[in-house]
Amino acid sequence: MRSIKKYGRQTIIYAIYLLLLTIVQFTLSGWLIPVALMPDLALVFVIICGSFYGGDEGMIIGLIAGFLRDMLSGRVLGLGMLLLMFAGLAASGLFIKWFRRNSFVVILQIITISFFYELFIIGLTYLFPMLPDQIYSLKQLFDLHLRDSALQIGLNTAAAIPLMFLLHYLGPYPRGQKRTGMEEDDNGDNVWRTI
Amino acid sequence: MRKVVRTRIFTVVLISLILLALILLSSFPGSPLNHLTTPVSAVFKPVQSAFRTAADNVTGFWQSLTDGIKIRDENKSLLQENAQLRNQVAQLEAAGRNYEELKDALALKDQFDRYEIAGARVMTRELGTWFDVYKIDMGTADGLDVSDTLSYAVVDSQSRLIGRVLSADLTTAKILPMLHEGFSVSARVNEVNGAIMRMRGDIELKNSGLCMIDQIPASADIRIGDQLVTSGLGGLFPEGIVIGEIIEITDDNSGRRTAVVKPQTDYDNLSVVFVMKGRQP
Repeated sequence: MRSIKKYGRQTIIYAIYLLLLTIVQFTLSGWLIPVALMPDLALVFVIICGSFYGGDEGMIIGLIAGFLRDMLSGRVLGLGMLLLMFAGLAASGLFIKWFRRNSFVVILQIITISFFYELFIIGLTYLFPMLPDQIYSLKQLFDLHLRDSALQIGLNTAAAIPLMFLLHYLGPYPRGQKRTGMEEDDNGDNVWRTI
Repeated sequence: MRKVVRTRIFTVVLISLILLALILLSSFPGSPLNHLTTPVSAVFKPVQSAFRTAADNVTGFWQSLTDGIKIRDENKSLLQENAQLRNQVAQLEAAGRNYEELKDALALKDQFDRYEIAGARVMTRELGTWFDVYKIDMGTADGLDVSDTLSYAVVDSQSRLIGRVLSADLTTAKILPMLHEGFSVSARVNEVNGAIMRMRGDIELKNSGLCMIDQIPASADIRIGDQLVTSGLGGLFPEGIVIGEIIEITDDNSGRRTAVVKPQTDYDNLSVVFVMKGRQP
């Protein structure tokens, strides 16, 4: 009974976040932010979840958020799921060997994962052009990457701050309560402590 | 501890392999895997529509307040214009009757007679490269049947080309916009014996809302300001749909010309699109 209550709370809160972020990202974005670039809210959310609540949760949230992304704006089904799953997993362990978990580390993770996410997309575009006779040079694609990714990373970082506060105060776990069953990593510090 | 790590690695590898298979299989046009999204689309469609409608209502209310004075002034001039137009309509009705009679007599066809044009609402917008298609609230239940040889042209309310249908599930479909680097169309300069060339999306130009022409025949006479329409070659797009205007022509040293095209449709304010269902005669 207790576990139903516990998982029920998590499920409902994650579902609300995912629904709202998806609606804001894909349906209301043109209305709210009338510019070409906007923060990648799903990616930011998945990274924060991975960092706050561990790899398993980051992976599952990444898969769900990725499915929604593939369904709503993906050329193919599965790519968003794959990318966001790895983003969630990466966030659970990136920089944890060297730093204690805090908001600075999450920001650092968002910058790093966003950069490599954009880089991966560029690699895919190079390897799998949609028109068979369309050949890109890697230099051309990297130039594009450098031009756009700085702004995109900045926007993602800016979006992370309110999301971190929201998850801290209105997250899937009551404040100050350590998640039961959360695996301890080598440092024994796999718990969100400060913001 | 080691067992937990091993299980996790196994799970991640297994899921990755499944997802890679999903990516490969769903990349084929008309793949049945695209129907996997149907249940979620069915849930999301009303929710998105509700949010979209609410946003439109708020925007509409705000605009009605700010545009009030402007509308009053416009109304005065429109009343005057209306009187003139009524007169013109009466004349055109007579001309229209004559046209119908002649059309029947000469067995002429309207340009898009064989196409059924159905309106759909844009539900989502794009999110960067590889996640850059639009979703509309029309699917296979509405008669869209996308395969590797069959797709549909998508136009705006002024019959200007927006893109084509990429895939469809039961209630929704994805639109590949003209700006997208995977889009190409056979275009013609809109004049008698106008040059035919290939127009495509370009990864560098798409953020500026522009497209590229890269296969211009050496003999083609093109100028800045020329309007492009679909040529009808290839069978996907009917002939004569307005694409855009040439805004730049570049000539490299080898004599190879490229041109930049500004599409006439306004991608920033797309809320309703029209799918041209039917086949090329």
